[in-house]
Amino acid sequence: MTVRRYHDRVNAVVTRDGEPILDAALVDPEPISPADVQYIHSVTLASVAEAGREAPALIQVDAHYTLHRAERGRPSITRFAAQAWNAGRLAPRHPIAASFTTVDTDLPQIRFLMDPEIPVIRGTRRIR
Amino acid sequence: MKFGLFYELSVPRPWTRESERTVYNNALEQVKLADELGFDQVWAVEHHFLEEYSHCPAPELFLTACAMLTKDIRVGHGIIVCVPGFNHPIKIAEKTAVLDILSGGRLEVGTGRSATWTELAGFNANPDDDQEELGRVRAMPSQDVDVGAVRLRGRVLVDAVADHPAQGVPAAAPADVGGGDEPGHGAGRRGPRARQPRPHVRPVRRAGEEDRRVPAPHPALQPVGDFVNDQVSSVNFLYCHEDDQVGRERGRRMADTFNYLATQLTSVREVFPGRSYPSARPAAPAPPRGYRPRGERAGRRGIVPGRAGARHARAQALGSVRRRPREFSAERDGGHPQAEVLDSLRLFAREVMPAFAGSKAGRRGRSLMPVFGELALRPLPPGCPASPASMLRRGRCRVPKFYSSPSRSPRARARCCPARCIRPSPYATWLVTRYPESPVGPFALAQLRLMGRAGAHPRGFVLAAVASTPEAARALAGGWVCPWHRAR
Repeated sequence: MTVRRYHDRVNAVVTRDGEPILDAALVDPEPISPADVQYIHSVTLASVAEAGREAPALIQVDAHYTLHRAERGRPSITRFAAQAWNAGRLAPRHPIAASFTTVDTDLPQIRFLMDPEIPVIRGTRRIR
Repeated sequence: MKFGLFYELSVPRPWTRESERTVYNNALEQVKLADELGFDQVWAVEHHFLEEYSHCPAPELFLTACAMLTKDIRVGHGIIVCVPGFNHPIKIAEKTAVLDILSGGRLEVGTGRSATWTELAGFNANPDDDQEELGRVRAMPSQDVDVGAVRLRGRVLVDAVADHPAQGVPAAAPADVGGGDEPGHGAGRRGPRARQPRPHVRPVRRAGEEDRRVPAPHPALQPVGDFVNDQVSSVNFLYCHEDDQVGRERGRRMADTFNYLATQLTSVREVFPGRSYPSARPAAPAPPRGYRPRGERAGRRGIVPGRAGARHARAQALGSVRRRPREFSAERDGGHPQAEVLDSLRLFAREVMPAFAGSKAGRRGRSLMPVFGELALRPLPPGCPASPASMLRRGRCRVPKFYSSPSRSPRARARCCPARCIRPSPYATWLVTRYPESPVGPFALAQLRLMGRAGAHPRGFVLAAVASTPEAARALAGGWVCPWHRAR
């Protein structure tokens, strides 16, 4: 996995078994305020064992970002192997924006679980 | 304190030709009843390209129909989207002036810009520019509209209009604050030569936050027209029923439905970083100690369904009336049977509104109501102790934050102008992060995420993740349960 900066772009390449599965770039970067960038938290599905039983749950990974520097530019995706990303039907059509930032971040512990079977507004639990 | 209705005109699936018509007909019937019951105003949004959340792309037509069916209730744009790609500023002035005439001076005009990528991209609007354009449109009534020549200097509007006859370019309709007390002070009654106030009515979503979100007019504020309309409209959910439990359950369902429909929106700042739509914060802060998810609370703050909703609404509304007259609008969507909605309106009008008719808040509101043309604010002289420069020097004003600006050249704008995309959601993001320091050593992590909502909050569902070291892959699989890892 490489992230390289060139004079006109920032390029990120992800390879698996020697084959590139993602080649994406931010073209013509221009500086913007770090406060203008918002990184959205992630959720993943997992099987959670609690009280002697296992049940599926959505786990929220809410990393904290302190942004120091940000650039925005035109996105360019020259290589995307959808199958390798568990996204067989995903076909990028309209790239919107790309950003490149320098941040302080962390590897946070899980704090929230969501029940995937009911609306999230009712099914969210704090565990820490 | 006044009360009104606020319409998104949601149309939940399944869609049929009849369902669209039913939603509009029901809304008109509700507005007609609200007029008879003494509600003060009805607002309509403007949204485009959305799915179930709102089918109100032509609010001026809906509001015209409302005005034709009613006698006293005021009709309001909450808001008109003032992005030239959506509505040309001169057309805004023309349409609002005509509606003000047709409604007998009952028009309220709120101005704003779209906050969703779904709509801005649909009209191929550049998010970097629309704040600037909104400012130009809001300042438009201060131009020489009344003498027939609109001299705007905007990028879009240069030389757009010249030598119009006076009757051809009516003045923009005001956010007239005369209300039912002063029905004769609308722009239509005053004719096209009247100087118009700056539309300043702005619905806010959470009762109790108006003071923070809409600051009091600065003493040195220069109004576009003859006065500053300092009223604030709060928007909230409301459902009343004789049975408290039934009211709460249905009100909650209404709020849940709205939140579900809101997940179909994609905000601009979520997908397109830029100074025009700055993020509120880089990431969500930690919840306060003792936080419980909403479903576990006995009642939700800011939500006023049920029999107790009447008391809640009253206390909340009274609590919010501190500095300026307020309006309180109730959102009336949610797919409930029409008969129940009408009953809810009747109950609210019978049990809640009379409490405000003679209240101190109500009297104070009327006494402070700035009658059209009565309040004339002007800039303070530069040397005045209360001038903005003096206040900044003394630290009494918060110094505005200046963002670093990307290049404003047309070429740079063209480079960053987003691609046209009417239906961007759901969208995907790739996130590649290098961690030079971590408990498992330096590593890099690439994620592919399908973006959506968890309740009202945007979240990215991780489809796959790749870590650059086996240690990191193991640690993340155990700690975050990333769905797929491959060390490289």
